[in-house]
Amino acid sequence: MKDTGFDYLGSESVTDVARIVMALMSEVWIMRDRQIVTEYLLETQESVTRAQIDNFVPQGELAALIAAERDRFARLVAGAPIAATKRSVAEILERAGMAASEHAA
Amino acid sequence: MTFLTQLEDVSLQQQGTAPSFALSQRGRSGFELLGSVQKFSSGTLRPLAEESFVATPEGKALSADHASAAPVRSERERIAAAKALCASDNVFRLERFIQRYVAEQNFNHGIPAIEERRAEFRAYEAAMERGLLGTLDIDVDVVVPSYYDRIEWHLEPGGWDGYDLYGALFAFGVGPYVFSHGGYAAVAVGDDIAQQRLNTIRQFPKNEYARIYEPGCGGVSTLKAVHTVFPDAALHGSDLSPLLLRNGQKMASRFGFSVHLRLADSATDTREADESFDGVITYALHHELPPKANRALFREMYRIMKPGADIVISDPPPFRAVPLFHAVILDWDTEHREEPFFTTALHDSLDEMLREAGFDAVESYAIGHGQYPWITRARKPLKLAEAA
Repeated sequence: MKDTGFDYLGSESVTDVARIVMALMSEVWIMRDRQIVTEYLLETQESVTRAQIDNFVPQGELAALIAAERDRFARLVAGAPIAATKRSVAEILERAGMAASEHAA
Repeated sequence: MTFLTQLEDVSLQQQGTAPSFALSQRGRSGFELLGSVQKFSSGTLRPLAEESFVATPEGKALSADHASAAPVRSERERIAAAKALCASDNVFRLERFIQRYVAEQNFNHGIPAIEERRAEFRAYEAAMERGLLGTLDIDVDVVVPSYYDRIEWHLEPGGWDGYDLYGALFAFGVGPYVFSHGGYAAVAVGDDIAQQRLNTIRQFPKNEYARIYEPGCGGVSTLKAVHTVFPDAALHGSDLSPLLLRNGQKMASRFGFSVHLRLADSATDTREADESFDGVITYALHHELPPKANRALFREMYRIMKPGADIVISDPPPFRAVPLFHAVILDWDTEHREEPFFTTALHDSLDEMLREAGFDAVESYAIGHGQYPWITRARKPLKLAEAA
């Protein structure tokens, strides 16, 4: 096997790496949520300020849409390890937040 | 001990007293993700791990032994063997890692999210300090028991009193965005913890109670449920945390009901009169006490209860009452969510402790998913002379 260099972290640090991944997951989601909020505000008014985005609290349909997108994001990222074995068409579609089609086994 | 986590309650909005500000987009969305990840962990990964556990010959045999009326192995041996088996499963380890991560992040993310709005929360709290109802007696020297001191319950930095805005953190962050999904500790995924409290209070057998006491009342979430079910009852409570008691009085006042709160170690001295209460409620308290303190607390409750008074308890179910995989999940909290007495309490029997203290009509049963809430209730006997 090709030498990949000194093993700085060691296999016992896998939990630390997982914490890094989870922290990144949080940062990505916070940006994704901000993008959805910004798009919504721009669709409903001519301009938007940083303070409006910061103080905006999604309600009603928008809140439901964000919740569905967030759950899908959580399933795909935190569920990535089980995607290696849970690979039926129905399971793949479920993780993607999509209803199983008639072609799903 | 519990925090009030329902500030978004519609009754507040009707009264026009709901806060007029919110967490920042960053604060809100970060909390919301924790809720979604925890829901995925307990709602999807945990059932997969349980499926794998019971599918193995060893898991099947251990589970059968656990459910047997005459098990071959002791309860501790069964759980230890099941823990080792679970630990060999990648999905189980991932689920537990996520549970730990969310428990840490409730504070690692939550404290900065609240701090961003410090000025607003301080002003909101200051407004709540006007027109307080009931009484608050905290200017006393109370000896803090050694088992309580320095414990950062549930990974809460500095313990219950470690951050002045913990009340806001739970009411505006952890409560509505994370705990509201259930799926942590003994709470099943999807369960409504506010409704569980109400269902618990409805286990009091009588229709009316004049005076009800709650040891370890924290931020009065449970007394609020008591007030909903028994609106005419006078409500009294105690806790070892001055911050929780201050927040509790403010929140009760905000919701328009009166509480009488005292700083006290309810296991040793509530500073309440003999035979002065018609009912006692405890909620999520006993797993935070060592056995000796639990026994002392029941003796103290017996002293302050009137003959014929009722005690109703909600605490995580004992290991004997749940499937073995679920016992492993509960046991995990002891080492990983700073719950030093969780395992000890769940091996023990509150029923026996109540009988030892003199109570009768002791019974215990579940009223929800995963055997939670687990209710234990009992009655202080009428005096012999009166009974005759």
